[in-house]
Amino acid sequence: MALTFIAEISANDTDTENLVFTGIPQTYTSLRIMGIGNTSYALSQGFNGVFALQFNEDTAALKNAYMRQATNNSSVLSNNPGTFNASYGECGSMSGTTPDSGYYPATYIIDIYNYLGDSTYGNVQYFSRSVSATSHSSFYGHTAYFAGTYKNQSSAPGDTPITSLQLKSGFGNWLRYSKFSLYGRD
Amino acid sequence: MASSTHVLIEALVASGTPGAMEFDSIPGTYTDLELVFSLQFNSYNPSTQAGHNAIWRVNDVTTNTVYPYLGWGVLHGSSDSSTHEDTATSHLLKSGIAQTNSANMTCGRMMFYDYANSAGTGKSIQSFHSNVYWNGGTYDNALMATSGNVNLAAAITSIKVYGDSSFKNGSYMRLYGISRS
Repeated sequence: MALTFIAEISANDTDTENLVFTGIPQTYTSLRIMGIGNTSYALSQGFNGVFALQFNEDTAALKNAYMRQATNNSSVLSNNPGTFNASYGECGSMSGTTPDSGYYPATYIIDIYNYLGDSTYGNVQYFSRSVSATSHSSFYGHTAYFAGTYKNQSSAPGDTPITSLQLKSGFGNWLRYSKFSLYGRD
Repeated sequence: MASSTHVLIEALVASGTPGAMEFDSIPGTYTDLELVFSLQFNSYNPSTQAGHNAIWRVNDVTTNTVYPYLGWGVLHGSSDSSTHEDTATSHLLKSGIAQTNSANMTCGRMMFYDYANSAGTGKSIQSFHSNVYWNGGTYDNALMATSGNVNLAAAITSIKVYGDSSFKNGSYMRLYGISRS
């Protein structure tokens, strides 16, 4: 089977800022995260939310970069041609609790490449799709693509294996229905 | 119990800095294909965007009515990029190959829908790819989504990619078969 389920994480019965996949097997060539989520934070518009991806739970600055193209329910937004030297990789957004107490989750698909720590392939990369559609007006829906990297480098680019993935709600906590699954590809 | 519906068909890893990489005997037994790639030039650092283009062709066909496509996204030095070609001779991915000096490869995945269909219409491609350097400033930085048709009156039996220079060893493509029934 080419796409194999590895693990699921959820906020369960407590709103949680960080959801973390740990002990990621080093037996695949790439990974995929699929999930739904929303934050407990009252945002003024959907794109004020931040879904931050942190590799190996490393929050140091100067190691991440990301780009974004997106639209909300009103208009196409200006593309982000690159936020560099960041402390996390942005990979999604959400609607928050202002429209109907957080009733509308966002959905995410994140593909992660070259996570094995083999310097042949260079630093880890990801490509993410993030979507939410609400019946509430005022810019709470969104659809977006994100891409980014993490400098998993000790002595050469990409030489440090990715063994954990931290999914961080940038504002507030992941609401308790939030749930993500991790898959590996052969 | 259903059988596997997403199966690795073949994995290619560049060795000896090849000028092209190709799946040349794709079985026609699946409904769709998914291709995952990670590509970098062996010894080439273009100073223009076009130098990073990845040229994708099926069955070695170069006819300009076969590959109408459009794409949109973000490229280095530009907050906005879109492109379309009604008479293209290939399915072209901008910044589809990372430069030699990059700390990472361009990575992405392509879906080939209804690839075994031998009619002149009905086969299509969806592609997502990116290359982001943590410190920025390189011509191969990109986030792109591209869609196109393959208007070829034959099943797809081969898929080839190449660019302006040869591939670095370790560049790879992995082809998966998907059955919808």
